[in-house]
Amino acid sequence: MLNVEYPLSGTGPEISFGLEVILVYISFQMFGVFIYRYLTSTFKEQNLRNLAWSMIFLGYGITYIFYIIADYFINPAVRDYFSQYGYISLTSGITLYALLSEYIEKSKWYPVTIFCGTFLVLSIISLILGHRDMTLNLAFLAVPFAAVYILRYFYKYAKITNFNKRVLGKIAGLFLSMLIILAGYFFVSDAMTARFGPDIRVLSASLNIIGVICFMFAILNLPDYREFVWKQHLRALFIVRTSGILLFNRFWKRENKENSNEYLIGGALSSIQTVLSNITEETSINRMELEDKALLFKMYPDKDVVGCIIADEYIDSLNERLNVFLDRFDVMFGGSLKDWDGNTQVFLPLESICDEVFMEKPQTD
Amino acid sequence: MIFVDIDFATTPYRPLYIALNFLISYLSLQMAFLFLTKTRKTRKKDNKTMARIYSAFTILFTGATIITIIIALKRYWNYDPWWVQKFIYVTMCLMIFIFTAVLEHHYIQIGEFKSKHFFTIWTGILFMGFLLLNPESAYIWVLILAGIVPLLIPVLFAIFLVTKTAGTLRKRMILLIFSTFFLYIGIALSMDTMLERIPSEIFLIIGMILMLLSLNGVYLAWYRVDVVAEAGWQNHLETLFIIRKLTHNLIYSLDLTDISGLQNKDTSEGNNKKINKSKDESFITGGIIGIDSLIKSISESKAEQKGLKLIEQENKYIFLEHGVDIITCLITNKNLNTYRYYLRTIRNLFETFYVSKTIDWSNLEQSVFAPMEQEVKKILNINK
Repeated sequence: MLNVEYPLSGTGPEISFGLEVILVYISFQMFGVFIYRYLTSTFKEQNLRNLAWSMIFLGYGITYIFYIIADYFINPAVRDYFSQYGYISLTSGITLYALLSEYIEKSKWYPVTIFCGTFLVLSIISLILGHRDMTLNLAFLAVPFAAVYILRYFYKYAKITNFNKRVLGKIAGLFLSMLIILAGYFFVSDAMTARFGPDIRVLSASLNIIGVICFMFAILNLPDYREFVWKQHLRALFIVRTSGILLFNRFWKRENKENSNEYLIGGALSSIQTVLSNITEETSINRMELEDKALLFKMYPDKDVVGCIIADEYIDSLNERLNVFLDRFDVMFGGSLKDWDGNTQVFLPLESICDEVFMEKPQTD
Repeated sequence: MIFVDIDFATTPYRPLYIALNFLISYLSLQMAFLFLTKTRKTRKKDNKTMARIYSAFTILFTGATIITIIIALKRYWNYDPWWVQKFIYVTMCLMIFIFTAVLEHHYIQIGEFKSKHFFTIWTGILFMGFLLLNPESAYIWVLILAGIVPLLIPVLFAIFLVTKTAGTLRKRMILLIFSTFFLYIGIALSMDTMLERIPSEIFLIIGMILMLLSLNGVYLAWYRVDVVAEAGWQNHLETLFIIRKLTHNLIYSLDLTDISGLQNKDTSEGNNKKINKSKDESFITGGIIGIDSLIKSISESKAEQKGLKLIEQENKYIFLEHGVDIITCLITNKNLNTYRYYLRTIRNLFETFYVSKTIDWSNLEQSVFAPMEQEVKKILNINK
């Protein structure tokens, strides 16, 4: 063990100090990004999730401010207090994250919040009693616990998206970045500094910065949370010939059953396409957006078929599912559509394909 | 005047300088990554011109990151081999040269700058000067002062973006101008050559803080928005229609396909023509109103007054804004946020002048809207 003197000084610690300042900056930047999203998002659940993430980054940023003061500036006699403020900030961030997450998930007993809250209360008691080691141990227990809890959330995220490859890649990135952050956090400890010398803090801060940046990159590029509740926004699906004949339809939500005659809707969709092609001289439509609804279209001009989804809002996942559905439709009926005799019974297998692609049974009357 | 000689080894502000220097390096790197991402995205869309502009920004900020790191090593840890100062000057000038060349070339091509590559040639000469001259030479000051000229390019670029954008985006571009201005002041106060000429250490601290704040401002101005694409909104306009909801009449239309030789077809053909004169127009207005009501009915929309907002086709976009009595409708071939702003402004203009007034719509002459042409052109930033 090396005899490390605090406050740390020398080239290595000065570089690690600079890097830790960057780490604080990134944490607050992330806090700002999530708070901005929280304030501007109109989607309630996503809103609170953003607030939850902001708490983690706020806690982490404040923790490092206390570490910097404790390790680079303050008299060793009072260093312990600042370290403990750091641990408490970290545990507070985690507890707030757990509280908001469990509120979003409608948890009945808030077990993680109670667990983290207990850690927090014990940490404060240890601070009052002056047991620094106790606070340190509590923080070192709380961090991996929080990491496991966050990983559980990512697992749920992946599950909702049916383990979509695009999302899985991002989640793997998040997992890896969390490991890097944990490694960085491990090396910032006094034990590691005493074992490897103060220069280890350069490695620790570098790992932390890399981890937090990777985390930031992965989480900001995760698909919008709305993508995972696409089912809630799905209202109806229509497959129509450009002549207006309805081949297949399904309603998931229908407010006025009497007024929504599916055959008339088929005709209306077809005439909309005709009118639009006369206005803009473009034959295809991709989407139409209203204040509170969206219509997504997919055209097969050579096959004379139009697919349309009516939803509460435009969601990419719905567009992808419409493409998948129409591709399956094309494989099954693409060849025989030209000779179709008008019997809609032949499209009965589409019911199963629809169940499979949209993962839901239709609304029963 | 008494100048201070800052000794970075002993100054009590050393930790502050280190912290600020590290943050400036990080922010420059962040900017480089931001533009690298934009370059990749625009390259994917096969837009080579925009990709080149964003690449120029990437090079500029990558160079800035390298320079700030070297300055930190030199100032705080005495890493000062003979080539360092020369490297700083040459790298700085090279990245400004590349940046200027790309930007100036592009804007001369689209007719916005009439500089005939003046700035590129100027920075090229400066680059050669820094390459050949000894950094200790007294003449280096001539080159540094001459280096102020190409600094106008980013400012001109930002002013150009301000004139071509609207709404929130314009506010962001104004932020960009101010940030660029304060960034220059910050750089000037923090340069090594300035250190011996400042009366107090506080100027260096102010300079570094200004750099930090302005880099944040530049980042915010460019964050999550394709400013260059939005600035080119005029290139994708096709037609503007204003329809009266109640009668389905087309009350105003403007062909925007050729902005430079723009003519309002309706008014140029004669002021005494009645609205709803041609079959095409009635088809368009009836079509849009019909689609709007059909879609509202099909989708069971509860947006009563507000209906269809956007129709996206393969290469066409129809933007719609609903007022109390009119629908403004713009056909374009690109989906840009800026259109929404202009459409709302035009809608408000018509509602203010006509809808709120008691007008006999059934017997209205097109000439009634003649004064609007200049107003609409003004809103759409059309000079002719």
